[in-house]
Amino acid sequence: MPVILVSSDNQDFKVDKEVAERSILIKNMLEDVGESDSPIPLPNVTAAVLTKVIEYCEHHRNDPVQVPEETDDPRKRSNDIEEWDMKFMQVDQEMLFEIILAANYLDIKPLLDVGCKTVANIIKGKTPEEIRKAFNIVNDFTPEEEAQIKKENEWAEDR
Amino acid sequence: MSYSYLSFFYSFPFIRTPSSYTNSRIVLALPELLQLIGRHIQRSDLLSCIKFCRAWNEILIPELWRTVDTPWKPWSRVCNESRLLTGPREEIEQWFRTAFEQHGHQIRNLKGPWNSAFEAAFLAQDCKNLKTLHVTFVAYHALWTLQFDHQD
Repeated sequence: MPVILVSSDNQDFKVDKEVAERSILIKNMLEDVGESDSPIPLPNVTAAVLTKVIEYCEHHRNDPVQVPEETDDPRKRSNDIEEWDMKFMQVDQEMLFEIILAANYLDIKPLLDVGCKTVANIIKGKTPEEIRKAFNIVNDFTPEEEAQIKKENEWAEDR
Repeated sequence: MSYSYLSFFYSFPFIRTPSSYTNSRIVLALPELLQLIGRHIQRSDLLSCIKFCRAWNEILIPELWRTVDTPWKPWSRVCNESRLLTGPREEIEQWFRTAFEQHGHQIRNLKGPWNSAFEAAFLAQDCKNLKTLHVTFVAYHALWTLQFDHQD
């Protein structure tokens, strides 16, 4: 049975239940409501973003439920994004962060994960100045504090 | 507002904030999301990120300290070979204590040469959440590795 999702700008999206249920938020909603064909409003997600999110859920509709893994190995970090996801994430920064917000709100862990990895990959290999600029980060440290932080974390420098 | 006024208004670069900043701002201001991103940032980049601003520092420092496995040196200098000392010993010991008092509880994995890793773990008594301790040492002309895993 299809489910109707309504974006914040009032567009209807008809999707299969198993696709919609990749979102734990929607899954729980459907369980609470029981059998019903009333549309589900998603006031935090625009049509443009919802289109992307549904595309992701369609592609991953048959994935097994993700086992939460905690890797402590720094070398294993980042990069391990599968090819389709990598292409899927080739969007502008605005959309990337919108997808992350939507995945967080809709509770779609694998999508949130891919989004976070993509941000980490953007950071990778950039100079501190470039990262600051890319994300518009304002430095609120005094030079003394900065020196203190540098000293305390010197061990992590690859030298 | 007339068009010409608007275009004048937006000709100031500091007013024309790119809209793309808004979403990134929201995401990066949410501690749980920045923390998730931090899990995927490699160490050399984390080291830059913790110097950006207070918010990033607070959230990403525990990520940086989660795994302490550089062969380098502050504590091997402290505990091991005094001939490698570049500064006064007390100063380095002080560094060591301060850093571990502050960050020891954030360390999950500690890896290093025999003396330094052990001393690091026990001297400070602050590594309460240590999950693995990995030490290497030379004995009988061979390189040995010991690993201790703490099961919950």
